[in-house]
Amino acid sequence: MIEICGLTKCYGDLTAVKDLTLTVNPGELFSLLGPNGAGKTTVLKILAGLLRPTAGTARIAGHDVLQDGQQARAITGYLPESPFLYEKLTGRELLGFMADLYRLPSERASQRAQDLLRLFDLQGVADDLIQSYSHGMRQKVALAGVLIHEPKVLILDEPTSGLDPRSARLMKDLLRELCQRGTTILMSTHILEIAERLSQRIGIIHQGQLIACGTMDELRALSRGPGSTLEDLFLQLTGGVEVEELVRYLEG
Amino acid sequence: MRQEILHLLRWRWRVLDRTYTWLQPVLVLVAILGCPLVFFGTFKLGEVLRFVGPGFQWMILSLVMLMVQLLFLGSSLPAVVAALYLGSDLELLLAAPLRARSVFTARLLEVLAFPGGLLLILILLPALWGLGLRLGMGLVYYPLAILAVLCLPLLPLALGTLLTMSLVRYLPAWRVREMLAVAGTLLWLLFYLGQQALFTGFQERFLPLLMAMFTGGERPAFLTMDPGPLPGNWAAWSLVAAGLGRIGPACLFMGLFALLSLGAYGLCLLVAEWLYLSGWANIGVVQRRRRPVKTAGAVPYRTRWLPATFRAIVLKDWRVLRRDPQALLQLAWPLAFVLVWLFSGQFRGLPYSFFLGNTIVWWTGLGVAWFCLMAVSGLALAAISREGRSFWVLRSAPLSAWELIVSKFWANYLLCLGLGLLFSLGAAWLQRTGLVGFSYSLGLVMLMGMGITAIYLAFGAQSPNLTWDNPRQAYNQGSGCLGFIIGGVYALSIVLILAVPIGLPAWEPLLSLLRLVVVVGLTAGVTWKALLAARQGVEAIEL
Repeated sequence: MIEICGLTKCYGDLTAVKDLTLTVNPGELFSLLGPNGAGKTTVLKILAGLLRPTAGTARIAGHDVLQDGQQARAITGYLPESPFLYEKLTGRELLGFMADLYRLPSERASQRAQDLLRLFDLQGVADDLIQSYSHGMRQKVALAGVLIHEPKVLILDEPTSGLDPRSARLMKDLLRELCQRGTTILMSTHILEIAERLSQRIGIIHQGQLIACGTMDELRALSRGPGSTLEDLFLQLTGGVEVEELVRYLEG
Repeated sequence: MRQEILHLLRWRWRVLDRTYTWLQPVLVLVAILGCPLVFFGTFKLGEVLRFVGPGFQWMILSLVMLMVQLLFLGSSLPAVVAALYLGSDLELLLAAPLRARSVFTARLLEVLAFPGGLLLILILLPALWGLGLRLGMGLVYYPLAILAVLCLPLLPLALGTLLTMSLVRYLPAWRVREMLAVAGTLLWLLFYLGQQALFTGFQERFLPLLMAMFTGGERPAFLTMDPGPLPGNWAAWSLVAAGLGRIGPACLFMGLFALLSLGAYGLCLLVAEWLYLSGWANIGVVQRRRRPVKTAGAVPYRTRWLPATFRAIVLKDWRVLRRDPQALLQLAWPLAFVLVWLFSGQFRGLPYSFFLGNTIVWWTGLGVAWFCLMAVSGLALAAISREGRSFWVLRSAPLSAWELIVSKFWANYLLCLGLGLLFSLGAAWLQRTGLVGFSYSLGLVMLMGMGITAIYLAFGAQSPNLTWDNPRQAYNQGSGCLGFIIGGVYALSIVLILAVPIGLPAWEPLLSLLRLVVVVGLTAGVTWKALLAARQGVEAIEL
């Protein structure tokens, strides 16, 4: 469903993503892990059409995100890490706006908006301006907007960031449910537990390069032993030695 | 504590200097050019004041003091909101190992000094010294003038701070900022309208009164005059007394003024700190307020016949504009100008011009078009920038850059047409130009509005600012200047093509038709090219 081939993105002299190749299968939940500045967000932004790659290609359901971007975006939903929204719109108006952008028929849009507001427990604040929403409410209304056109592909950048435990649980259940219905999900996260429990496959990205990719069992096989956790592997691959040194330093 | 305050101020200055790179050059320019200019300007003005009594001098100085204090009171309100509530770093500083009092003192000193206090020292002090020198004031006058300038903003700032905190107690900080922006603009509009009304009857009524004040002999003895309860008057009174060599009363009144100002400022610092830390008016109080809005549902039924993406963007832009007083205020100035212009009726009685036909109709149409273009240019310039950090919503949607630009163009052009319709009706009624005048005005708005909207949209899309925090930052000054130049050339070309005489009266009907064809063609070409440029600009945006 998502095919990334030799993707490179440079910002001046800095290479944020270097020759990245990755495939996400239909109906799969793929988690992208990596330390801060590893290039996860850049990859997701390129897929969502927010950035142009310096080299390489990225395809969503066979549509090149650069050449055929409109078709690719029509079946994709993208949620950024900090979803800035129109402060002067209400939650309901935002959903209507996004439904129009995705060319949903009016009746269907109203129905979907109502369902999603109920699902995310936003009915009570649906007619309040977004500027009065808390961070969690913004995250939820943004996700509702992303889901309004029932995308086949979801690209989520840190979807549980800033959510309270109840909302985070709702998000995890929702992602699982969507996957079961055949939605392909590519998400980045810092919470290894979420990646471990939800994802079919996990990719670890470091300094713009994919350094490990596979199922949990495949990744365990890569690490020091069968009993090791994803955290061990992650630290081992992305600078765990430095962390261990830091712990030793702090312990005196 | 002094070290902490100085450190915080130094740090803040560094931030300001890096954010506003023009700040230092402007201050240096004002210091080098502005100070001498003000000094010599008031020195010359002193020649006039030399012939009037100290009573009149006192009146002028009192008025200046009062105006400065009112200006400080007005400007301190938004500055305090920004410094205490919208700056986002106050909580960080309060959590740091610094005295809360140092943080508050530094923050309020910053409001006092940047840029109001600095400009006051650079402008009012040379003015007072220039005046004093010309009027031959005594030596005591000069240090007292320094004291007056330093103390002048303290009382209004103290009042402004407490007033702002009281407002924030009941309203969210962003709402207070919007209200202040609206109130500020309305005050300026009232001032402008009042000034226009005053100057309409200036020659008949106010000029003789002013002349009488200058020539009507000595005012009542200065020292018998009551300075009244306004502290600014005490400072003015003290300065004039110092000029007359009455050192005792001069020092007494300036001392009272300084004592009151410093006392009020100190008390304000303590109260502000207490109000904030006790939770009476801090960020925690204001963030949880919500404002329910009446909405017409997700997609209003009456607009369902429009293309979906077009409807989405146009409706969203209009809703956001309607609910954002700061953006809406851009329309207030042209409205005020057009009201003054129309009610002054200055084009009544102009002679019939052979080349322009009915001159009243022509000038009225041009005036209406000018005001509409003024209103729409700012909106079109910021059309992309106003999206701000929410631009990801549009960018990740299945929407081409062309669809986005065309929708943005119509959202602004339709506003321009709405204003044009309103102004044209008003103009035709007030100027009594009838249906011909109305059609002519609206025609010009339709034509020039199209070109100007597209030009400003294109310049705004070339280098949009999508990371603003304050809506005012959504306007790119550089793009605005370029838009003004290119838009000006386009508008001037239209006016010249329509108005320049050819000198062939017999061919005038055919020439009129030709002129019309040329301006329509020119507008279509300019609009097309500008929209293409805008599309390129949008395509180049990366988030």
